[in-house]
Amino acid sequence: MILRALAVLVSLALWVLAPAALAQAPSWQPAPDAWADDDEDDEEPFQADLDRQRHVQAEKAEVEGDLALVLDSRYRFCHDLESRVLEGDAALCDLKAIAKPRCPGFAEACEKPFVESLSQRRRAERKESPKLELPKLSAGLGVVAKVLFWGMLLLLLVFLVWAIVKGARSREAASVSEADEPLADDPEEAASAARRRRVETDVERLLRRAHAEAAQGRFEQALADAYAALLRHLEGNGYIDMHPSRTNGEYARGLREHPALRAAVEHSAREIEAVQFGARAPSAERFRAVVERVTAVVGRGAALVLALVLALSTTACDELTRGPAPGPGDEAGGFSLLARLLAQRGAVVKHHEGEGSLDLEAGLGVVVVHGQADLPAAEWTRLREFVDEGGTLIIALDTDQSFTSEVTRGPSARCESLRAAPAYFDYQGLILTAPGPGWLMAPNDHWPVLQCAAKDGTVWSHVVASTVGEGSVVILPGSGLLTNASMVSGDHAFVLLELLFGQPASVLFVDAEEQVGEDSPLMAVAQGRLGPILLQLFALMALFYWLRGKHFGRPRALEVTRRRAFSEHVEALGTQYHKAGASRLALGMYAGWAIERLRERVLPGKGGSLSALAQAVAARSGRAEGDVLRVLVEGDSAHKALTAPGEPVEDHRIMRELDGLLSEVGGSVGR
Amino acid sequence: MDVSEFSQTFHSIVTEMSRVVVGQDDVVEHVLIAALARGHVLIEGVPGLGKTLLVRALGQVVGADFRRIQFTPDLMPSDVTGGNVYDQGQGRFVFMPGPVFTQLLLADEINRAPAKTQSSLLEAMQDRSVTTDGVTRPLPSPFLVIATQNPVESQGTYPLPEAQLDRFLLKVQVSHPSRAAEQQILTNYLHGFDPTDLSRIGLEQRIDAARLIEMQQLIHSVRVDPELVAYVADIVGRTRAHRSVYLGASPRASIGLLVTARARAASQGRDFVIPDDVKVFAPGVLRHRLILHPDAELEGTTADDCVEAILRAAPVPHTAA
Repeated sequence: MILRALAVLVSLALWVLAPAALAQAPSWQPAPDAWADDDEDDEEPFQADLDRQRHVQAEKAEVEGDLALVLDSRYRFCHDLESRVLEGDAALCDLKAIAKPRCPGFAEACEKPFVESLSQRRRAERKESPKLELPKLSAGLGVVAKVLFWGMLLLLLVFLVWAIVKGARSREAASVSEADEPLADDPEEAASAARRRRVETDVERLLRRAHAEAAQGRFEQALADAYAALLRHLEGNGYIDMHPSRTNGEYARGLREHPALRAAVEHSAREIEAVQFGARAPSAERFRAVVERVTAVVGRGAALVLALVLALSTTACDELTRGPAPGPGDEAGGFSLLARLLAQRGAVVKHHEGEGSLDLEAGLGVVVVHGQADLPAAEWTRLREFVDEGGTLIIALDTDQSFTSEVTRGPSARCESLRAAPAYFDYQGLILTAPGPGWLMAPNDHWPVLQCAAKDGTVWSHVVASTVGEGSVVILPGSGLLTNASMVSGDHAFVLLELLFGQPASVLFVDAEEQVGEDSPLMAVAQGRLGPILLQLFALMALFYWLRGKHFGRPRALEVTRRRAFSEHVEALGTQYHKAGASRLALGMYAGWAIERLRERVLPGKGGSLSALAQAVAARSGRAEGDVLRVLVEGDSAHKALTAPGEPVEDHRIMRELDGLLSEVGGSVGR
Repeated sequence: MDVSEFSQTFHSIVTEMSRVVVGQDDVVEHVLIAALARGHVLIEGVPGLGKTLLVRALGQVVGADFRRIQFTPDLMPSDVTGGNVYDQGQGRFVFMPGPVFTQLLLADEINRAPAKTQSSLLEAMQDRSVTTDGVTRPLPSPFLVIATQNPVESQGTYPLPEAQLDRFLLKVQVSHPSRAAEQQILTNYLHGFDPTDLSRIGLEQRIDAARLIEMQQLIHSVRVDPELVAYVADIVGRTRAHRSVYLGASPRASIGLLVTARARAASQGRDFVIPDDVKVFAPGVLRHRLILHPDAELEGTTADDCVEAILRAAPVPHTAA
């Protein structure tokens, strides 16, 4: 760090104390005459001077290359001929002449009226820029083609509306049909129904059923359904393969590569197994704990899918969102260009904005403090320690003086009438000294500024540096030197990089808080180019809400509306008959149907009496004819007296016997 | 002692043994579960996998008396059980206890001794006593037989009779260690590990025999749901109906499966058994109890294949699938 500080000082001395001034040159070049004067005065060897010039030229070429790389389209002030300059940056327009080769837009903007804010600037630019002419799609089409084009577009819209409405109606119909199936009140009947019920695999319905059962106080079944929802979700996503012979432990072990999912399964299984096998009481708390875990896992998948959809949707606006959006730091008065140049040259660049302590970590080489930065005393103390330990502190003062047209390398011949300078200046506890005799350390609104005055009264500001402890402090007359406009002007970038950041190092910029904001949140969204993404997001949410109803945002599996199987209709009908006590009616109808089927199978096309039918059935099935005839007579009697009062057990027995006959003579039709 | 303390003790024993027996955590757990379930273990594996080391380490960690019998073709039953020897000084026969009178008995390469000698362990394993010349002498408590056999060599070996096999609660198969485990074994060797001197590596005794008995008794308090009893019966019953199995598992196997499941539940800090406890130990409990049809054996079917198929077909209670 000591060497580094010395290098900065030597560089400063080299540049500052050089007798030649390049004030009049639009772009700094080593002036042969000036250097020649030096050579005569100092009697330096010509060859050494030539080598130095070559070195400088090579370094300049390198910086020029870096500038070309980083000076991209984000610097609109540089390239956009319609750009405007903010009033706060008006002083930078002194640089327009030497900035013009690289930034023609800046020179043009300086000729136009200044604007107060970014919003005002955009409004002004919008008025001036010609409106985009959208190509008329149908311009080159004939009348028939136009009609076809618009007709197809209309049909597409109608189809979309129809699809959405149809989906909504079918959803309502499905919810109504589900509501028609009440849960059985009798526990035995409920258990029996559960055994007959097909295995539910839909995650959403399982969760809904779990909540319904929990609401009725059946927490054990609710727990089982919630856990089943979790497993079905994992199965649907390919994490596990469910099978009746698999244990919860096997499911958990199968998730060893997904610790979060495994933890959820293990936790839920632990709660449920404690109830199912450990005789623990199923409680609302236990159910709540399991449901929270289940919902978290199920919701994570939905969130991932949604995030993926949104991420993919943003690519639709690729042209609008490509690259980082330019911010206040990219304006003419911003400071991003220097940081990017440093990064281009291998330096690690960090920023500190707002409150909070500075990150003066080990390895940090340079700290640049802008004059507007409002640092507390404690932070200045830390900076002092940082410098004492060998760091370089660069302070860009915030002075009211107008920005000089160029960075000078030292007191020119015009700086002859210097006033007496104090030997040192106390700045925030840092003792600074002028670089040499004849220099003035003049306080300017509490800031020390190194100045020299020409005979005509012009005051020039210069860089001043001093060693403090093992490090060094460099004071710049104003932060204007570090601005983007300055960096593209003449050789400012070269001078700064050579003088202040000679070696690639970690650099911390302590920036002043930017007060340049948008007038309204809407304009901020527009400036951030978030409009297309937000619009897509809203459109997606609206579509989901319309298609999925109030459940949007909650995790759920896709609910597939399907036709019910015939056996389910029969089961539902049978349940209704059972509840209504209409077993005789059911038997009669079934018996009529069964006897007809028996006739078709054993006496096709012959008809005949019940005894003939019984004889044929007995011959086919091997049963006793008398038993067959009894069953047929009982069934036929019931068929002929549908409204007679029935006996459920007896009626059920006859139905089963008829069913047995049917299956023995030609295959069962199922119940 | 409660199941939580039981679980902590169990895992501390496993951890301590894992310092010596590297890469065989499952085997260690199975052997320890069998010890806690008051069962005997048959360990099958090729030579050099640390079977003897495992038993010696177990004896040291649980503080049990340990003896080893190397079974050979000329080993006699009295070499195992002991016998009456004439004491000239006293002028009468006195009983000289055999190596079976210990708490932890390693029957090394048990299938190298003829059936007569193997059968000398039957009473010891079942009744935990030895009868010689009409006198029955109880064995120390706890008593655990850990036998080893080599599945590869068949010459000069005598297959264990079914009655003998049925008395082993578990048959544990030891396989080659993983690459990482083998590297650890080699590293230990380079650092001076000597399998014949376990005290050098500071293997600590975690419990004593009394504590082991206490843990064995706690297992009886672990709850078994009736549905799990039915599950165990279902699994064992299916071994008798499997088409490749000539003779299925006995009710002793059902009891063994139930008791190992209880021991595993306690080892995991639970006071109730879950289906996983049953399923994990079903292969170890059943594989040596099944006699396959010759046709199935010719087809290459193994007892493990049958047990796996049975477990795949038996639905677990309260399944969500």
